[in-house]
Amino acid sequence: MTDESWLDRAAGTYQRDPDFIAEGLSLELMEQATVLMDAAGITRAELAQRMGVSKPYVTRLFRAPANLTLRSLAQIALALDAALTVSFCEAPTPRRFAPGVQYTSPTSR
Amino acid sequence: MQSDQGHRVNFWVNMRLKEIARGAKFTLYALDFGQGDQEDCPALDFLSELERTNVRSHRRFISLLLRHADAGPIKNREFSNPLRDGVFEFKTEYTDRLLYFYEPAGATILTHGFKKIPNYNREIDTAISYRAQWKESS
Repeated sequence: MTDESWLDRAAGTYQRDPDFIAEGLSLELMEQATVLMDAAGITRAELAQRMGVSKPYVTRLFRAPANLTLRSLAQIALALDAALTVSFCEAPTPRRFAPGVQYTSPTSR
Repeated sequence: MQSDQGHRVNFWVNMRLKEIARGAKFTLYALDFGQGDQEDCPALDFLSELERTNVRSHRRFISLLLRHADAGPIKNREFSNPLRDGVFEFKTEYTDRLLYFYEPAGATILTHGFKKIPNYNREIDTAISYRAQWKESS
């Protein structure tokens, strides 16, 4: 895409906002947890039990706060028998996209 | 359906779509009730207002829209839910709602946004009506 879209412009205002990046990553990771839970038929109540925490606590995690801790993510990973990886990579250019999402070109969909 | 200055236009219902993002999974549009150069997009007006009044909620919606466009439908029910008759909602922890529906061929269409009240059936009905009008004549 050559022209900057409305959403690109809106996201651009947050490009260097750590809360935006952290919330985006948190959103993506909790989305992945949701997919894993759906596939395994695990409810939030069951996840809470596996993590040894309360259900309201799990609900707060799924609200994907910017300050979601690596420890909480590790707890979720252990409860879901999943591996957890967090890494740095080269910043994408020129288009902005959702933090944590593996980008593929619109032309390849 | 015809093209008018980059918009997809449905003249029968005086409704057109403004493309707001083209992601890897979905192209996002906002319903636009304006004419000619004048835009009247309730969803974008809502987001602009939110940018002034609640930047955290605005920031969250931008994250949700980016994620939806690039990676597909959001399954976490804290942020997106099906409502009724093909209408869905994006929502934030600040009780703000942005309604949308799907059109075949990878399009997501935002209708309008609002601050949630206990019973928001009227808002859902409005989005259902927009969806029906758009689909009937396109």
